[in-house]
Amino acid sequence: MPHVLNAWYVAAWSHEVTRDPVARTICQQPVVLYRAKDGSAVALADRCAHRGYPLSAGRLVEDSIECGYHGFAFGCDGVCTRVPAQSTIPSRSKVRAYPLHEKDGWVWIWTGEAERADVTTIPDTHWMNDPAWATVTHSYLFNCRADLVHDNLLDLTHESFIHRTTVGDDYIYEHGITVEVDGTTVTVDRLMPGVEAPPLYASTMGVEGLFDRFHATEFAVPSHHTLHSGITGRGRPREEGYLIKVLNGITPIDEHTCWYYYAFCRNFGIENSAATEDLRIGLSTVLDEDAEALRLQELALQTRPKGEHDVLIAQDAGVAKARRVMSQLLAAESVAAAGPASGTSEARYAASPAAAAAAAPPAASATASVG
Amino acid sequence: MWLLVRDNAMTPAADGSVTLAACPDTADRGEDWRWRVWRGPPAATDSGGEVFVETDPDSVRATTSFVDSGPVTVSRRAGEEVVVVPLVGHHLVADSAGPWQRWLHPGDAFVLEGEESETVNLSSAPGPARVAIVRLNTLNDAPLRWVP
Ligand code: FES
Ligand SMILES: [Fe+2]
Repeated sequence: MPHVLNAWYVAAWSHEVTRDPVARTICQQPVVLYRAKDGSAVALADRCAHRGYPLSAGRLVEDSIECGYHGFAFGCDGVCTRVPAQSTIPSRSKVRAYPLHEKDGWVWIWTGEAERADVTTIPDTHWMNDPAWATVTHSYLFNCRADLVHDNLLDLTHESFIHRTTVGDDYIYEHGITVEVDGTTVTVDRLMPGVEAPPLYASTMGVEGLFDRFHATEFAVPSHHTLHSGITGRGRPREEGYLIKVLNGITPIDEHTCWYYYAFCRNFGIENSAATEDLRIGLSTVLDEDAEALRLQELALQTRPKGEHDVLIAQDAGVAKARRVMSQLLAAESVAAAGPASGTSEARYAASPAAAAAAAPPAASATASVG
Repeated sequence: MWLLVRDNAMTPAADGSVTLAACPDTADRGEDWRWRVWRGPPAATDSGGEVFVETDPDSVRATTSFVDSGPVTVSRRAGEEVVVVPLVGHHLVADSAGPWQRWLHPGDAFVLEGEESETVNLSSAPGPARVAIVRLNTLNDAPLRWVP
């Protein structure tokens, strides 16, 4: 299963990257993360150029990481700085260094062509770092492909079922959605006028009665969702309300697992540390519910016969459109040895990932299923 | 369900035409094909180019009207699908029952569908304006629902 590589993914929390090398697999690429002496974070391919031993099993010597097998050492730029017992360093002795950018508590990694890494395209996450907001964080290893998490976040009707006792309410399904596709960002917005606050937040908000509730998932394909949610007075602008920004960094590990970096930021009860603790526990229950549901879905999909596809309905418009954008990004990246795009698009459908592939120089047909 | 696809997310065909909306949206669904709305290559005229509609004649009937000056109320019947296609000028579409509103620009497409009737208000920015409103109705009993 291919991954979109020319993208920023959350590689770790800032506090996880220290002078002790840590191993992560990101888009099927083993990476070692550590901090140089000046405090800057470093990401190198986690495979020694000498004979392939994982560098993360070695140790830091000044700013270089020394392989734990035969002692080759590599600097922050991945270039070999030392070969034991000889002064000549083979010119091929280097490992890949990844562009990294640290912001608001997350370390972002660029897994594609380094010259295309543009830090201005990293999503806004300032709420995690803003004194006017209080934040609860979690990180999870999900036993499912990243695509299932994307679908899950774009389709919050599942709250009525999977999160029935936590953030779910039967009325969610009754309110229509507005889906917007703007470039490679897909947003699914739902306004639920005149309803009660969700049970998990109502006590922290200290409110009773009826409100306009809303949630809008903004998916910057392929790696990050910002969920803009909250309640506000009936007919009042959203900005006036009790606001929640849920930041979701979804980082593929391989075809069947992904990292889920989660930050729940709220602009109410921010001094209330007991509420923060309650939310931390309550939200981990919610995430456990998602993790278990998606684990089961992943297993079920692995035995699905070829040719059997999802039966998507109007309610799934955001899911479908986001899958489409993902396919287009994949197709555009898939450089073909075999020449021009082999896929054909049928003009009578709006969706034509193969057409996007054809627009990208030289490209192959998409291998991703948009089923 | 409302679906607003911006110009920058559309994929033009080789001849410059663009499928703005279709049902099903892709061949992947394996469901019966119903309709599509597309624009020809950009015209050098002030008309903003033409809008074309193609339907399965056995199941769907389409009617297209144009709005050159607003504001107007666009009502959608239950089970009907409506595609709003701005051709010239900028147009504000606003939910008549809530706060939602967006500016639509030439190249964008806005689809409204669902099993309850509803209305939106459409008004144009000053200057030349033209919007196509395509209505798609079932010739059978079941409401026409959009298929991703
Ligand atoms: S109802 Fe959605 S997976 Fe079954
Ligand atoms: Fe969930």
